[in-house]
Amino acid sequence: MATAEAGQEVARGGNPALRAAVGKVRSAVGLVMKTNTGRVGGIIVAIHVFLALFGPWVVPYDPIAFDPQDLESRFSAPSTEHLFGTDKFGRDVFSRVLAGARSVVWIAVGGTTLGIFLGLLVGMTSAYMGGRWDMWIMRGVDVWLAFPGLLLLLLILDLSRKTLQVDESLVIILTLGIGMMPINSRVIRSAALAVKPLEFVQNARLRGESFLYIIFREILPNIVPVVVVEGTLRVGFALLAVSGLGFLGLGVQPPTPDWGQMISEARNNMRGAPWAALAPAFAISSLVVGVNLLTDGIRQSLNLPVNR
Amino acid sequence: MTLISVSMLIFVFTEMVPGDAAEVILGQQSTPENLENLRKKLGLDRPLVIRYVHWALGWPRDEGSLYGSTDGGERWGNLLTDTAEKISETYFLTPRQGWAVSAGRIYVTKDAGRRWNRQFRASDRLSSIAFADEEVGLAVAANGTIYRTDNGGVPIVDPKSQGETDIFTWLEVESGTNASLTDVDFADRSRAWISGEGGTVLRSEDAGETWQSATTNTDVTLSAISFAPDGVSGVVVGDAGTVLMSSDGGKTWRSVYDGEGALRDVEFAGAATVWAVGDAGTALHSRDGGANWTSMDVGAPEGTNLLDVAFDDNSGAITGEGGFVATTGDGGTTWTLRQVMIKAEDGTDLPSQEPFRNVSVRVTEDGRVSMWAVAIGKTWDWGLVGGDFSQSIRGNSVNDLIGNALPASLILAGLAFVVSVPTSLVAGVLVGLKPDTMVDRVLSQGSIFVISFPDFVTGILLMLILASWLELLPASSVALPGQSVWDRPETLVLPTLTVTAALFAYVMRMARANVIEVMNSPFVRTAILKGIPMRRVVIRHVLPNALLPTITVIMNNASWMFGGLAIIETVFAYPGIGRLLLSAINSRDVPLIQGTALIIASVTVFSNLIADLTYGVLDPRIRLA
Repeated sequence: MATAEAGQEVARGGNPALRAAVGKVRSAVGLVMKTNTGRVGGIIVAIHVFLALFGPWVVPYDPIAFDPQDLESRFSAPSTEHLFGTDKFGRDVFSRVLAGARSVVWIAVGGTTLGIFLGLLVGMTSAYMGGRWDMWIMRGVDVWLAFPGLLLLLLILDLSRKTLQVDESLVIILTLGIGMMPINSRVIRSAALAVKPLEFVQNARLRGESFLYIIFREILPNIVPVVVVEGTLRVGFALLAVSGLGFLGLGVQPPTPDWGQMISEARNNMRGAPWAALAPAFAISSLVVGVNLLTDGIRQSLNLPVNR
Repeated sequence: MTLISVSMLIFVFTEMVPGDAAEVILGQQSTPENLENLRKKLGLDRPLVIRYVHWALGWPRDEGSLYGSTDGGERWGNLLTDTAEKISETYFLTPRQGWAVSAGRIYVTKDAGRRWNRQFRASDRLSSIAFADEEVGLAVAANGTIYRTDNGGVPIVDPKSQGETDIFTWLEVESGTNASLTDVDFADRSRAWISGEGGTVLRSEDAGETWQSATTNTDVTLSAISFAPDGVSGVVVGDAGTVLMSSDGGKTWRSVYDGEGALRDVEFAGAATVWAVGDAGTALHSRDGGANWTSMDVGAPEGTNLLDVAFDDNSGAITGEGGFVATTGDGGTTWTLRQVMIKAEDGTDLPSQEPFRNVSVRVTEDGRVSMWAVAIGKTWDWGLVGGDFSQSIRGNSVNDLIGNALPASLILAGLAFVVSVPTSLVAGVLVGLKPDTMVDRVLSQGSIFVISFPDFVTGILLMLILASWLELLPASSVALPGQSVWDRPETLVLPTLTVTAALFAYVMRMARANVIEVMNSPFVRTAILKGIPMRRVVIRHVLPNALLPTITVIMNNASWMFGGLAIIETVFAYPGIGRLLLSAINSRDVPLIQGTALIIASVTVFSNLIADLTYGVLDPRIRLA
């Protein structure tokens, strides 16, 4: 895997702490690769990540530009020339699927990272503070959870699009992160609660360590497995959410290719040209299948139960 | 508790949506001033907290009840109107045909006020309405807007929109003022006059299309205007006993009387006979077109404020506060005190004590006198607490919209739930008891694929296979207005199948994993080794412990599922609440967003509650807490 190879190079550099960390990651990757699901999932995800990184340089055709005069090339069926056929503007579907990979992966991973980070903050704080604080924070999380997810997504999207003049994929990442926070913080809280009464946490408190030190240096390393599983699981959810937003026309705006949006566009011509919808549908589904299989593999290698 | 917080959160959030209702209604033509005006009208200039209270608890409101009499005022009956807003003023052209205004609407009746049909929704608070004949009519609003129609106000159905939208024939005309307008009167089809606050008198000689301002040399609030049938002499009355008269068709006005209390209404009873009424029982009478006035005693109790006067030929009526109604049949020489009886709560008849704000009189051809009176009472307009989600910015009742969409969504979610949860639990438990068999592998690997497919991909695939290729089922679930989803049950199959697929896979995985986990736990092993029959071990020991976390997970995801219905509903054009929310968000319809969001949130909270209760049933330890 890419991380492991990169790690090897760094490891040769000689920093012992780093070497230990890299060793841990390598053994973890090795463990995951021992499971069937982990292996299959890992390979699928690796292919997708590769295409997301290098796809834009290998696309056979321009994914955005099209010739409005050229009616001939519209809706041509899959062939050797156009692997997945062409869409209603005569653009090559294969090129568009490749070009769309990057934004989907980047947004889903970015959104999940943000969501996990916020979840860590809220969940660990709530667990560590305990008592009344815990109750109020969790009550707030309940309210946040009862808030309709779709509405939340749309409102944050709408608000931040108008008020923050930033790149739209950043806005979607922000939205996903905030929307994901409550569920993540619940899971992380329950994991942190199990760690909190342990001796080393009490020791750190008696040493007079700061609050942030305790939650990030004492509690966090001991709930890493939960966080990793939660993270990969949520990447799957985030991918579904991103493509759903695209499908509803609320994600990345055209003409930038986006899988959900491509499916939505091609939906009306399903009978005559199903490939224009099926190709991006295959792309998103295979990626989520890969992520979910990988999640399963990680779980199995860590001996964690499925229900999180 | 949670629901209250959620309602606050939803309110604050949705109010923060950029582009408020005022901007949406005005669209491209918005200028800062008329934006400001409209905001004021919609109450958007009030602080957030007050608006929240208004939305959640309600607000006091004037409510009009309409009474009618067909025997010259002897007996009155309550005309039960089921209009959305209560009528505040009526105008009857004939004893059968009339129009009425409520706070923001115009209604029309063709049967003497028994049934009222909504004709138009204004974005302003309407104060008065009048018609010259069956076609030309005017309605004036409290913010200076004048609405005009020349076909009796009948809406025309827009041919392009397949019967969905009406083109309203009440059109705004330029009034040239922002002053609150109070009354409108016609002399004939072309000449009309309007009174308003700040001494405003407007006149039109082209049936209300263009308006000129007249000089009145006063700035008091003028509350009523009336013209003689010849259209030459007219009278306006207003605050501080002001009576102005014009003898040149309303171009110039001179003061003819100086009273004390405010005058509320004026009416020409013939070519030269004029009546005016006002505060503290004032009733004035002129027989020379308004030049000289004499006070009349109409039998009002001391200090009763008179509010309205109406005449048709020799028959007339004066109404006032405290349930005061007096009628005359001889041109006002003698007045008879009348009592409008209302049903009290214990079923007995009581004389009404409400203020009668408005009265209309029309004589039928056979000489019978019909009268209509509007009594204004204060009522509390219940908000959310009373189950009222207020109105969408298009003027439709949010309750109705949700009432149509919610059952459809509940049917969809309920069907999917009923089909998938029991089957998936059974399947999950069965394969969980015997892991690593062939069936288990197929099911658990298959379920990973199913949960990995976005809802809309599953939906589109099913649609492609079952609807397009095999042509077994209809591809879309569009329902005609007024149609329930049950009318065409076959349209339910595809959406239900889509939701079911994801739900089945999800729940089955959960159940399977939990059963495997519990089966490996020490207490189950002990139970088996003790020799308890396997059936009993599964039912008593495994199931309760395995289902507990499964149910929590199902319910925790209920909100995502219910919100996620929006996508499936979009795929199949299913008329559910998710799609309603989406369209509300797209059109920035804040009241509608708030209503639908709150409903979705309540469903979530409710399902969490059910989860907690189920928890208690399955686990006695929790029941006590």
